[in-house]
Amino acid sequence: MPWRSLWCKFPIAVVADGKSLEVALFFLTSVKNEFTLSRSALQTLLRWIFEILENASPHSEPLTLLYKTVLSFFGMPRCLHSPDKGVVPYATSLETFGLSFKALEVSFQAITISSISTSAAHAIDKLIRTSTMIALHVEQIAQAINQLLPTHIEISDKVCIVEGYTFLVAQRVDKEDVPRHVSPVFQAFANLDIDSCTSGVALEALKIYFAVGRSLYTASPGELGARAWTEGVGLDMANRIGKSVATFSRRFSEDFEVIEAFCPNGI
Amino acid sequence: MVTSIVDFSLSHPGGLLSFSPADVLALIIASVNQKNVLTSNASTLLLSLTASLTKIYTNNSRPDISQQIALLTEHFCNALFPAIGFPEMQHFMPEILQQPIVQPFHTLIISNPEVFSQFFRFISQTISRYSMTWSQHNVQRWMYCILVALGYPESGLAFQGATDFLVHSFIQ
Repeated sequence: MPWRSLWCKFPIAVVADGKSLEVALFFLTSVKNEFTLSRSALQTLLRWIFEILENASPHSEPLTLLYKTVLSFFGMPRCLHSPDKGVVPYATSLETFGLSFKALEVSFQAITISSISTSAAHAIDKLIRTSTMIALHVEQIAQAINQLLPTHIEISDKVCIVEGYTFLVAQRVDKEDVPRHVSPVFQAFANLDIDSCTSGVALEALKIYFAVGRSLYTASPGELGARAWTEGVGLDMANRIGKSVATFSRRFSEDFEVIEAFCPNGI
Repeated sequence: MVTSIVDFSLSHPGGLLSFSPADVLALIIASVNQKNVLTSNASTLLLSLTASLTKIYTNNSRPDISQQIALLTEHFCNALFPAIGFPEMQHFMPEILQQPIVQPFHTLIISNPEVFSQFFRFISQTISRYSMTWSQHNVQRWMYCILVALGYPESGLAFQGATDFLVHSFIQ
């Protein structure tokens, strides 16, 4: 039986029971494996999935699997064939159905759960890079990231999200306004005393600073000469990085090589 | 991480990551002063950063940083080489390798070939724009070291670095 006609046999009404969860996972896996759904089938699938996620906690074991699969789906770099738009990223298909914010909300909830945090981080990165609707709310996203950074999630996941956010800011905001929008990331470390903190904490701050600086260059290399970086909040942040680097190398001078080993690609 | 950030900022100036040559000089010298360059894990990275700084500021569109290069050369030479008085000579002859004076260099190269490989790389980067910063005493010290490394292929990276230095100097 062709998958598309199989799909049509599962109405949304059966969402609550265990079998529908299995079917949801089956279809998501199919999509991940390059099975092409029609627009209406994909829309129905996504609405169905969100309905399950809204009514269930990711802490239960089968739903953790569903969360992980859904988050991988949001964050996938591969593209989905759409009859009307040609090839589009998965995150764009969420946008088409008005589900970007829901997806972002689900991803921010999921990132606090260690078993699915990496998938959630990739999903957040992908969503905020690609969604034009989300891009209209840069300040709210900055606030959410500011609250996330002091938590105990993996540093690689934090870096992933910060890179996505910095990309969004560099692409959507006027170049003279970029430092103001980047500053909430730095405010997350406002209380950090680099002269007395542990090397792990200091290193985490350096990795975030570096992620922002590198992403700004990658996203808009021609705009780093803006006046906003030589005065006010832009200059303050650049000076903070300079001081942090100098203090780190003075306090933890033997960590140079160890740190490099933990930082593929300089992260 | 520190060298990654500074290295990136040197290649991509402006914006959030902004380190001047004076900042980099202060960072490297402070780090070198804190440790034994021959045994520290960080030395190779510091020398690599020094070579990057020199390479980037070799470009004539960048300001001249002779003063910083001279200080870095002096610091690394003092940290890496023994304080030996050298005989007066016009040219370095292969026979030098037979003399006891080269023995300390032989020991040094064996102790940390990677660090000497990076040091030779740094010196080779100074050839085109900053050779006026070379002092007679320092040239003698690193040339002894390069000759010893060339005569000792088993030193691996040090031999490779010495060979690259010669190739680079011929091209220049």
